[in-house]
Amino acid sequence: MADKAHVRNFCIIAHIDHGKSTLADRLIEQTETISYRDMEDRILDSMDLERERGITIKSQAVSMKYRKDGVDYTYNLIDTPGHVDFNYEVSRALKACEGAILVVDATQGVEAQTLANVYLALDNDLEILPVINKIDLASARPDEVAKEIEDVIGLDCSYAPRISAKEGIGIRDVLDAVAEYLPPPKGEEDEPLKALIFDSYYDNYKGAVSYVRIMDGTVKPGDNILFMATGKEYQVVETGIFTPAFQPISELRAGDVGYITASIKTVADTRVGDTITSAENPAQEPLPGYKKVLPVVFCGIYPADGSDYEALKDALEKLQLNDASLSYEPETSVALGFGYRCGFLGLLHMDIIEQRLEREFDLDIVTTAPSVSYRVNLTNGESFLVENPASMPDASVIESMEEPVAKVDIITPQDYVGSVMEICQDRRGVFQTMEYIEGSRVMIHYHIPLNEIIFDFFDSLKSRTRGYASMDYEIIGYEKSDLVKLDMLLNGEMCDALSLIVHKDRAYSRGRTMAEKLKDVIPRQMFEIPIQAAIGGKIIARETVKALRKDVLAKCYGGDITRKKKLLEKQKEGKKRMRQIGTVAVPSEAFMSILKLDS
Amino acid sequence: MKEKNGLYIHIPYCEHKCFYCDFSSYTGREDTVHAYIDACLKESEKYEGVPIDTIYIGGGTPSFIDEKEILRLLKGIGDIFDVDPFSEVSIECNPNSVDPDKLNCYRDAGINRLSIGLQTTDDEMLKRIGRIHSFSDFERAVDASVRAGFSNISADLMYALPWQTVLDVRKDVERILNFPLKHISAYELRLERGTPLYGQPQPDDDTDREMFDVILEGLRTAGFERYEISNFALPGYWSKHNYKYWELCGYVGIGAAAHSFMEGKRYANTANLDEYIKKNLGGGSAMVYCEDSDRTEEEIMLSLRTTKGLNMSHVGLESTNGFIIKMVDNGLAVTRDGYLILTDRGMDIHNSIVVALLEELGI
Repeated sequence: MADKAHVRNFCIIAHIDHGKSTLADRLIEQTETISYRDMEDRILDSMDLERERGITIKSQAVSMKYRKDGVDYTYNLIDTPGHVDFNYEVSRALKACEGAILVVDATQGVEAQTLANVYLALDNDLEILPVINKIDLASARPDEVAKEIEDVIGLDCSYAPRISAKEGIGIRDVLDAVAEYLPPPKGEEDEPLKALIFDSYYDNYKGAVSYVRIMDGTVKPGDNILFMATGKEYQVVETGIFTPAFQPISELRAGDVGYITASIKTVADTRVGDTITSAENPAQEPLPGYKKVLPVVFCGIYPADGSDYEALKDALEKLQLNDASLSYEPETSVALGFGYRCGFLGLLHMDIIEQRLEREFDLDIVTTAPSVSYRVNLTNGESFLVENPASMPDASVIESMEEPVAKVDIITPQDYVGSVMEICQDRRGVFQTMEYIEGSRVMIHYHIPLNEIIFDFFDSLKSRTRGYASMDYEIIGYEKSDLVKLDMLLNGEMCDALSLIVHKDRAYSRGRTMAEKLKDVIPRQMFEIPIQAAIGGKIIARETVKALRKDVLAKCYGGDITRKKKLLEKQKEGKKRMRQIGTVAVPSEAFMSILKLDS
Repeated sequence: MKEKNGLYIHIPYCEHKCFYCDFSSYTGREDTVHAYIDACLKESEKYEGVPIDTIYIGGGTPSFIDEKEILRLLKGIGDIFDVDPFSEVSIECNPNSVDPDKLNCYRDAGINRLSIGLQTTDDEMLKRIGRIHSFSDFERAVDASVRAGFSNISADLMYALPWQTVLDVRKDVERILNFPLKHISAYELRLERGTPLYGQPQPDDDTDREMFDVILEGLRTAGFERYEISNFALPGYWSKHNYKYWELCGYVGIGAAAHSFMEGKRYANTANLDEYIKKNLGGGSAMVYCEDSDRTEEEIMLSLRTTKGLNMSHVGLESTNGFIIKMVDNGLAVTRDGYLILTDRGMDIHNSIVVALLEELGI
């Protein structure tokens, strides 16, 4: 490997859609890391889901060679997600870097997540290289945006490359600036090995693969290594770098970014954030790990077919290996059977996990309505968190309840300030401050209960501002709130999977909406079905699914009963696909649509 | 005494195919009628000496073909089967294809029951569904039938036609009751995929039942008894032949697309006219389907269509069954002398009840 002085470990940070992945593609292309023939768009986004949705979900790494002024450099690029839900992933990647390229769209300027990501990078003592992208677009205003970066973020933009990643303009300037402005790694090869696991991945042949940044020391195949947090020892089978495919090399040294395999079958042994050291000559102290990030959004995930329960468990375990922010524990529902209560960093994170379960693991799953975790304070002084509305204690023993509140930062063109404030007020938001940034844009700060954000906050924000507003949020703590548990009863029986915890002021309208929607999606059955919404035994809304009026075949022609039998078979099959809630059969699809129910 | 069998003979010829029809029938193939009747008689030979006491000639439009062929057919049947002298012998007629001569010929051939396909009394609606007769054709046909000495006349009525209203149905009921009919079948039109009318707007379930309730009330007031989901008759005029289907009695089906039920097995012939003729005349069999009948399932499904109901002990059900009690409490059924009988409301959702009962029995 190159001399440490000629290594640069960096990531690219940006607001969503500002061109981070395209720039990564161009850097890889320009350095001829991958031949043009093998190049495909968004090369670092290996998951189908990432390419489809145009977002980066997982961190990825690639080693590139670059020659500048006759000197060969090794550039290790770690790609990071840009979405608010994945801040955790961003911070993991940042720990493995010394520098960050900040991409800002020359037509959009600084956005909410630009700021959030910059603050994260600064927290990790990273050197930041601003890059102004999309200068080829007619609406680009690079001078204004450069000023905005200087004013709002306080970064010197005099040396910021102005580029178009899409058109390949200014890519060499970026590569040169990386060598000039981003620092080389520190670290001593003679010290005992300290390698930070910033990601891991389960390979069916190699076992668990640890993505590492070597802080001190060296590691090579045959070495005995110790995982400091788990205390597990293994013998290294392979060390290598990312091209971005795995490419074995003989040794990884301080400053390098690469991977280690050691025939590790237990995925839980390679914990992201753990430090790998030498078993013979261990380091005194592990590296500071990652802050354990607490999930903030929860939902129940159940196999559509009960016999897939084990497969679901296995899939969640594998996903958790490289997504430590995913949490899960078993739960049972009267309506849905055996499943898991899962915790996520946000709604997008939840959506991504659901889709990965369905696509990568081929599972058919049913998910319950998302909720947040509430703190329940009992009259006897006890206090605990409730993640599943079904497990909320009886109202009579509850002294008070608290709900998580988020600090929400929204950047919007001035014209939409009114709309944005209306959305926030509607969702029990408390206005904090507002400031103007660069001309006609405004940054608005609100405190909003998280459970108001997890429904369709982001969507209504986008639609009410014609897509111009951007937002970021961060949980700031729990606040007392007047919360109640809303139950739905079908035929007088409570359906646990439909229970919700809502603010008292919202309970009536919520209950009514739920009852109406249930009435629409539950097919008429032989007997009338009362649908009720209740708060602690008090019925607040009622609807009725009328009894089925007609389900009969007029005739069997000339003694041909085969049609009739076929119809019966179809009806029997249809019934099997129903979920039984007490005596009421609800088609799976209908059940899903209720659970997905927004505000 | 062992129950006698029924005989169904299918005549797959029509002058014109109705826009809702997806049964086996052919237009423009009248050249094959003679050979077809030969083939039917040839097929009948397999059943030599089988005792029967009902004959039903259905279609298609049996009245469309030359009445001499019907005469020849029934004569041949009489020579082959052991036909009870008091048999009910029915033929389906289209209002525009019967005349006094044809009716006299039918009477002489031994036919004693006519089933006339009126469908609706609204001429405009008749055209829209592809019928080639008018309401006045029906008036003439009934009149001619009575003159020819037929007293057992049935008419078919259809409801839930595209664009039909409840008032239209009321008009149909009022008009049809002016005729000397002994039997009325009221069928809900069900549009099948692949037919020209498929996809046309039909009344929603509530309106559909409102239409049926108009029929139910009108016919009952006039003394008709609903003895099966879609069938009404004056006392003593139930269709003996059709009743065999619901009672799981044996019946022989002769002709293309005809179904049989004999000794616990269900059979069906090919629906292809040419193939049917060729196979039978060539000395082979045109049977394309044969299956053991599933007695319990079929008994539940078929007997609950009638007001006689299901003999619960036959299928291992008891009136103390929770689901049956719930049905009774909700006015969907009554139990009487070990029989489970669906009420009008129960018959409205016959399919769901059958499925639920099968589930109760773990079938």
